[in-house]
Amino acid sequence: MSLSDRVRQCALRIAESGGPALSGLYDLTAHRLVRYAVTITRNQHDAEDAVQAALVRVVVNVNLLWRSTHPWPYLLQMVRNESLQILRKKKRWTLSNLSDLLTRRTVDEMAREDTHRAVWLALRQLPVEQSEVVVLKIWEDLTFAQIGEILEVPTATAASRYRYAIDKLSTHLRSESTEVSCE
Amino acid sequence: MNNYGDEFDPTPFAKSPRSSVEEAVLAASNYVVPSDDLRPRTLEAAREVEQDRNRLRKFERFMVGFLIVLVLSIPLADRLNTWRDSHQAPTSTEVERMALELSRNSTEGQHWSMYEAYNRIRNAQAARFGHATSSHAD
Repeated sequence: MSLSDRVRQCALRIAESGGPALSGLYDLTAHRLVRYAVTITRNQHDAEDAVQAALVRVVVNVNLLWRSTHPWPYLLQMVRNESLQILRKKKRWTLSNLSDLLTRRTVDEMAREDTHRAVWLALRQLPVEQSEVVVLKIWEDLTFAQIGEILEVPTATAASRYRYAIDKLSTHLRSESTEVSCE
Repeated sequence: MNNYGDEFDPTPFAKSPRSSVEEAVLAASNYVVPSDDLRPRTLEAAREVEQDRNRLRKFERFMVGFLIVLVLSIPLADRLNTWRDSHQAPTSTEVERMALELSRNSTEGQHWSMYEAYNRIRNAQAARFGHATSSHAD
């Protein structure tokens, strides 16, 4: 069953049982939604506020979600709108480090933590419109057509943003690894 | 269809298998996690919103019910008023007004006018109730 179908099922459950059924949708999507929102807001606190606002909006108008042709991209779009709204309200500032992020370190991934940090730092250095394409493409495994729908841009634009973003990311990551090896 | 599930893909880059950069990005996907309090916070916010919505819905229902009762009660009150006019005895003010009018239109004194007013009222009542009794008997 695809993620979209599972999201639709959760939405149906919310429509039937109301607010308490939101926990199912939260458990299924919160992690993905937060990491996507973080790439837009560049701040975990704001990202969580955006996710919370979007999920509460789902409870208020759940029909929009379960009637949507693609519920998962629709939910991502809701989170994106909330994130942009938060960004608009706040004074623009960018963190140059990852101090705001709550990270998970499993024992077998300790060795890769530096790489993960480097990736997240590199993502933060990209323009938002590029980093969100990377996140939607690689982490959410969406097609460029779906990404285009979420970002309200043509498919070709989404694809070219992705190409530029990957080019920049490889440059950033290469320079990062050179710095590490020099140290 | 390319590696990414796109039917249309203008980027030659995307046609290649995942690069090391893409692999690194993919591996970092679970690095950031939501805070522990986000779940209860979200569920609580949703519960509050739902409660507010239910309260609003109840108020709307009450208002609709109230309006229906109001709309129905206006013609009912009108009907009751008509019934009262024809069946209830006149008030003392109405009797006094009638007596005053009678004394103005005749040479009789106020006391006689009052007597005449009561007399007329009683006759009217007797005629009305007599008519009602006779219609009942019919």
